[in-house]
Amino acid sequence: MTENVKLKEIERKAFISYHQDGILDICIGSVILNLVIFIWLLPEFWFFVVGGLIAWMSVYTGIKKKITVPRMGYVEFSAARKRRIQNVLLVGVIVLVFANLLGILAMIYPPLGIFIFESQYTILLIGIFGAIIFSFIGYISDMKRFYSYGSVFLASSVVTFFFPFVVILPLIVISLTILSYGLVLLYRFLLKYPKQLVGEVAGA
Amino acid sequence: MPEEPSDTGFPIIDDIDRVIHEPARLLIMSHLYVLDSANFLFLKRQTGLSDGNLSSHITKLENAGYVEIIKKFVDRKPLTVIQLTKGGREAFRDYQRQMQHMFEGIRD
Repeated sequence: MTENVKLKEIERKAFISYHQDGILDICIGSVILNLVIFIWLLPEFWFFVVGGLIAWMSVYTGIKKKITVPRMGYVEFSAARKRRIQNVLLVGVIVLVFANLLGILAMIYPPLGIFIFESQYTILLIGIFGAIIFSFIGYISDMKRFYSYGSVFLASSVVTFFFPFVVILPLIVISLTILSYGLVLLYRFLLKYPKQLVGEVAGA
Repeated sequence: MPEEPSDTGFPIIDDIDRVIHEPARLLIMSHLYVLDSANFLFLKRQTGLSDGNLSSHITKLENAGYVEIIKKFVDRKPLTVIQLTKGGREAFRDYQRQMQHMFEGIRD
């Protein structure tokens, strides 16, 4: 029904504008950068990746309250939308647990590690898997920029497959892309929505 | 609950809820229908209405019993949020049905 479609559009617009501050992108970019640092530079501390995820989740909530709410206002989304957000979080946790399990298995049984991480096609598989995850987040959250992140990740994986100078290149590229775009969004958001002073807004 | 009773001779038009039918209030009601609750600033950002306009429309909706203003604490800070009442939700659904019914069978 047209009316329902329009109402969905209103809800979608409200949700997207609430996340147009780039904070989510900055946090996701930082989590991936965290992953790069601990896999590439400090592999013996790879389990800190989980700690980094938890830390960034708390940072996200805190920054949202400090930056977004005073400028965009406070909103409680519907139960259906909350379920969709929970699904996105669940996917993130499953991916991280799966990656950690692979790391543990590779440490316990090195031939498996060699098979998984040193296969010729691993980088391509990671690229496809990452692109699917980003697209899924984009689909569930209605934030279309995640489709672009998926494409960037896949493209950098293909480039790394043909020119394997730095195996971890796709992760570096995607983390820096998401982080920088998040900062651009945050800058735009701060310009567009100045902070409302207490008492300036009737009923606040 | 029509704002001013009218008699156009077309019951379907006379029955239209004029409190909701006004564009700004329809916009506010639509937002509150799809969201759980929101504060004044969020509604202002989404609807693009001025402080005074939004405030007066919310008062009208509150007087009609369609929205309620709730004061609560979030992270130990006072917060005033606006949400649809049960009656407001039903009135919005009725309005939606009436409008669909009214334009039923009309082709472009």
